[in-house]
This record gives sequence, C-alpha cells and structure tokens, in this order.
Amino acid sequence: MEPLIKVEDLHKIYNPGENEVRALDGISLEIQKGEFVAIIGHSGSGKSTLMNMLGCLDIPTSGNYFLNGKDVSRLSDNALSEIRNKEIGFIFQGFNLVANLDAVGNVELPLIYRGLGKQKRRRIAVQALKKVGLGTRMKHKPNELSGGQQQRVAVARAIAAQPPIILADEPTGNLDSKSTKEIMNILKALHTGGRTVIIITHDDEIASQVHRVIRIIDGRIEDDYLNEEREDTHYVF
Amino acid sequence: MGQFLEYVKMALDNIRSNKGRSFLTMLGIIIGITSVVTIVSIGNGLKKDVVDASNEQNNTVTIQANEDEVTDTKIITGDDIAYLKTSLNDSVQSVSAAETSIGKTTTRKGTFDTYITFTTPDYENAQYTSPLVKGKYFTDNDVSNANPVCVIDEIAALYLFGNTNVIGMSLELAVDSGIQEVTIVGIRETSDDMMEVEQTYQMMGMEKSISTLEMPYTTAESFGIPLDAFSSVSVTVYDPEDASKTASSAVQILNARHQNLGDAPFMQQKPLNLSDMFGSIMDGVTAFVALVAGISLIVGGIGVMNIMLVSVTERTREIGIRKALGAKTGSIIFQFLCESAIISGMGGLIGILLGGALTALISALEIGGIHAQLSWPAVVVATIFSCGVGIVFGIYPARKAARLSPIEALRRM
Repeated sequence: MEPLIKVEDLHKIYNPGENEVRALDGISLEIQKGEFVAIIGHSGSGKSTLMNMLGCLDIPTSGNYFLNGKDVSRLSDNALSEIRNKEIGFIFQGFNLVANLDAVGNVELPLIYRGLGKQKRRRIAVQALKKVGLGTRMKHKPNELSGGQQQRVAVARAIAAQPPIILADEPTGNLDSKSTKEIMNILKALHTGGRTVIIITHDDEIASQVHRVIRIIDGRIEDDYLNEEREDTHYVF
Repeated sequence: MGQFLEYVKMALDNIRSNKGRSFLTMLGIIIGITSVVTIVSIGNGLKKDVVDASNEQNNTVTIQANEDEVTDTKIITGDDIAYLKTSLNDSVQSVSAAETSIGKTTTRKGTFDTYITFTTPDYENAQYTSPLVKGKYFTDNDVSNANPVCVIDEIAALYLFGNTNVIGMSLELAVDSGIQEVTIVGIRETSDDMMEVEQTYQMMGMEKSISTLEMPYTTAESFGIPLDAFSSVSVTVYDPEDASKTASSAVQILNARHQNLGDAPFMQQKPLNLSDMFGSIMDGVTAFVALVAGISLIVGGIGVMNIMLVSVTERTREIGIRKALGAKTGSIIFQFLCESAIISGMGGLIGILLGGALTALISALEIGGIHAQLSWPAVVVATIFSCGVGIVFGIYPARKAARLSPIEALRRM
C-alpha cells in the first residue's frame, strides 16, 4: 500500500553559504495511514522544521515529500494552503486561537476556508466541540478559558474538518499534568478512530505513550523504533 | 472569493472589536469628505445666487452713443428722452439718463459727504430705486426751469436733520465750483443695499454717512458742471422678455432723430454676460478649494494605511493561524481590503451625512447670506473616492499581511 507520508532525502538549509544552518540534513521516512507517531528531539534538533515540512507550512531546500502519493514539495503558496486545509489538522503548543473569536468561531475557521456554508459550519463546529467536552463553553472567548480548555478548542478545530492527518506540535508543552492527560487521551482516541496522529515533542514521557518514535538529532534521523511494550489500551471517544 | 460576505463579516467583527481606533481612523476621512461636500455645496449655492442676481438685471437695457460713429458722445438730450418715453409703448416702466457727482451738504447738523445724481424725472421708476415715502419726485417743469430741488433718502434725512419731516426744508449743497440752497421735495425709502452700506460704515467707525441726493440734471450747470445731454439712456421694461425688442426699437428711434450724425450713431450697450462670467469664476474657486479639502482625504487615506499596517503587525499571529488553517493569499488580502474599505467607506458615509447637515444648516441660517445647495455629483464622487481611498491605501498593508509566511507569523508571540 502506498504510504500516507513519504519523505525522501529532505534538506532544509537556512542562510546558504558560510554560516549555513542545516536544519534538516537528509531525512527519509515513511508513515502509513493510521499510525501514531512521535517525532522527538531536543530544541535545535530540527524537529520543528520537520514538522513545518510535514505540515506543508514550508518547502524543503531539496528532497521530495509525497503526501498521499502526490509530490507537494514544490507547490505554490496557495496550493499548500489548500492541502493544509484538506489534509492536516494542526494542534500547536501555544494553542494559536484567534483572540477575538469565540470557541465556535475558532473551530469554524478552517471550514470557512474550505468554503462551507454558515449553517453547515456551525453544525460541524458544535459537534467537534462536544466531542472534546466543551459543549457548554462554545460562546467563550479564548481568554475566558483555561489552558487545557483552549487546547481542547484547538483540538476541536483540528478535527472539525476531518483531515486524515493530525499534526500536534508540543501539544502539551504549556499544560499542567491533568490537562496533559486529557489531551493525550483525546489524541489516542483520535488514533483509535483511524486518524494518523503525529506528535512533535521533546518529552520522552509523551513519546512513550505512542506506537512509533522517530528521534531527530542535528537534522538527521537517529532512531526509529516501535514501542512494543506499550499496552494497547483502547480509549473510547 | 466566493464567500464575500464571510470576509465582510470578519472585517466588521474586527472593526467592532477596535471601536475607538476605527473611529479615529475614520475621522480623517470624515473630515475630508465633510469639507469637500460642504465646500462644493456652498460653491454651488453661491454660484446660483450670483447667476440669479445677474440674470435679474435683464429688464433694463442701455442705449449709448456709438463711439465709432460719433466724436462727441454727449448727444442724448432731454427731448430725446421724453420722445423715447412717448414713442415706446406701455411696456416701458422708465426711460432715464443720469450723471453722478460728489459734493458736500451742509445743514445745522454739520457737513456731510454727498453723492449726487443729476437726472431726469423718470429716474423715479428706474431699476434699483426704492419707492418714495414722502413728498413727490421733481417734475419736467422743475427740469425745464432748473429748479434747485432734490429728493433724498430716509437715512440721509435722519443724518442731515435728525428726522424725516423735511419736505420743503432746504440744505446747502456744494458741488464742484458752486454752492446753492436746495429744497427737498421728496424722500425715498432707503434701499436694503444702502442700509447695508450704512451698517458697514458704522462698523468701520465712520460717524458721518454718505447721503444720496437726486436732482434735475439741468441744475448741474449752476454748480459749474455743463450737462445738457447724456451719452447713454437707460430703458427699464416691466417684463424682461420685452427687453431686447424694446432696445432695438429705442435704437431705431434715436437713430432716426439723429440722422445727421451718420447711419447708426446709437447702439445697445452690450450687456456683460455676468452670469456666465461669475458662474465660471465660482466654479474655478470651488474646484480649487475642494481640491485643497481633497488633500485632507489623502491624509485621511494615509491614516487608514498607517492603522492597517499597525493592525497587520498586531495580528501577525492571527494571520499565521489563518494561513496555517488554509487561508489563501487572496483570502487574507480580501479580508484586510474589506476592513480598510469599510472603515473609509463608513467614514465617507458619515462625512456625507455631516456635509449634508452642515449644508442644510448654512442654508437655514443663511450664514453670510449663502444659500448652500447640496451638490449630488459631489456626494457621488465623495462616496466613490472614500471607498477608493480605503482600497488604494489598503492594498499595501493587505499584501504585506498576505505575504507573511505562516511559520514566521506563528513563531512570533
């Protein structure tokens, strides 16, 4: 079967020339549909750059990136926008909610850019918020919500458009242990539900909770292994 | 772009959440549009007033000696004038000729500057003269006997004697080289124009008024001014439509009476086309002032651009989020353009309303006697221009916003 994500010899070089920084230095990897992957590395290891590449937020200096078999490494800005909208649900460390929109408004954002009508959008957004347990907080603005609740809004936004890939960049980085557990449970449930979930983290504890761990050091894949000992708990969503 | 309304709503939401700032940004446009609309409306009203006023003149025509045909232009005699009056039909209100001079009047109250009109009896009904309120006008008899009589206006009577019961009283008039006792036979109402002149003099602190005095033209000689004929005669008709016909018959009659002087010793004085002249002057002045006011619109536009740039910087993160979630370059440009166009469009709308209100106020209060008239072309141009300002000055910030790379934008905290 064709892998969902296939990366070949990906390079990203900043400041080419004397002071060049090789953020990615020849990454090749494949991720199958339905996998639950953690990309782990210290700050400066290149994991965020890899996440930007996988999320189609940036284009590589060289190498190829096939998403669903289609080469997306040389696409235009607008084409990448469309792919992000359809294929990828983002969850960020800093939540990245729009401050002057309420919870529903934030969840509706990707649906607006997909071109859905007002009522359909509202219905999908409300459903997504209920799924993450925020059915009673829909009209709250981000500053009226706790960190954990904000991140759940962000998760609702990521899953609302039903993208095949969930890309989470340090999703628990700003959260306390209780909220961390909640968010991880939601991500595990998403994986169980058939989504491909990729978490970028520096935290070994988080990495130990997923199936497959890819460790990045200095822009290269250092290690790529399966957490065999992990219990296969099924979280019901 | 199919979701036009979505972007308008986003823009409105953002304007609403920054009410104070949005209003201050609009203020520049509001002031610009208000001034342009008001100024053009005032110009419009002034032009109409001037054109109306100069069109009024058309019921008087002036026949003058043709300078190309005759050497001495003082050829219209009292007889000519009397003959014209009887020859022309009933449509004629007045046929008169006049020469003016400046002198001094002395009464017990003192000596006053005086403006003297040496004229014919029919001057009583000439254009721009007010009705008599006391006594009567001097007569043909007074003219033929060169009787030293005069008609003065009310305000002059008040200055010269302290009251208006002055019929039969005399004053001492000095003009040119002569001094003479003159008896008052009639009093005219002071015209509104003269009242205004009086008020102006008083405001300027001039105590003594300039009185006006009308006398039989034949009395001029006794002051040392030879005046037995005039170089022009004014014919006033009741109905302005008769003016040109009356003018040509008056010219014919005079030419016939003075055949010995040549083929056509008389001609109608070309009326100055004041309405066109003033109209185009007013248009020019209005356009110039409106242009100056229009510059404030550009300043307002720069204000919009400045705030939009600030907004882009402030909302870098939001733009990053939107782009990460799938917003295309066009969507971001459109969102920001909508915002600047709405801000300046709303400013324009408020400016038009304010300008309309100011115009109505100026008209209602007749400030400076101006009847301002709302200029619809100015309103239409102002609307288009204000939205245009928003779009033109919004493009740069909007492009700046749309070109942000999502990772750069998200990285900024």
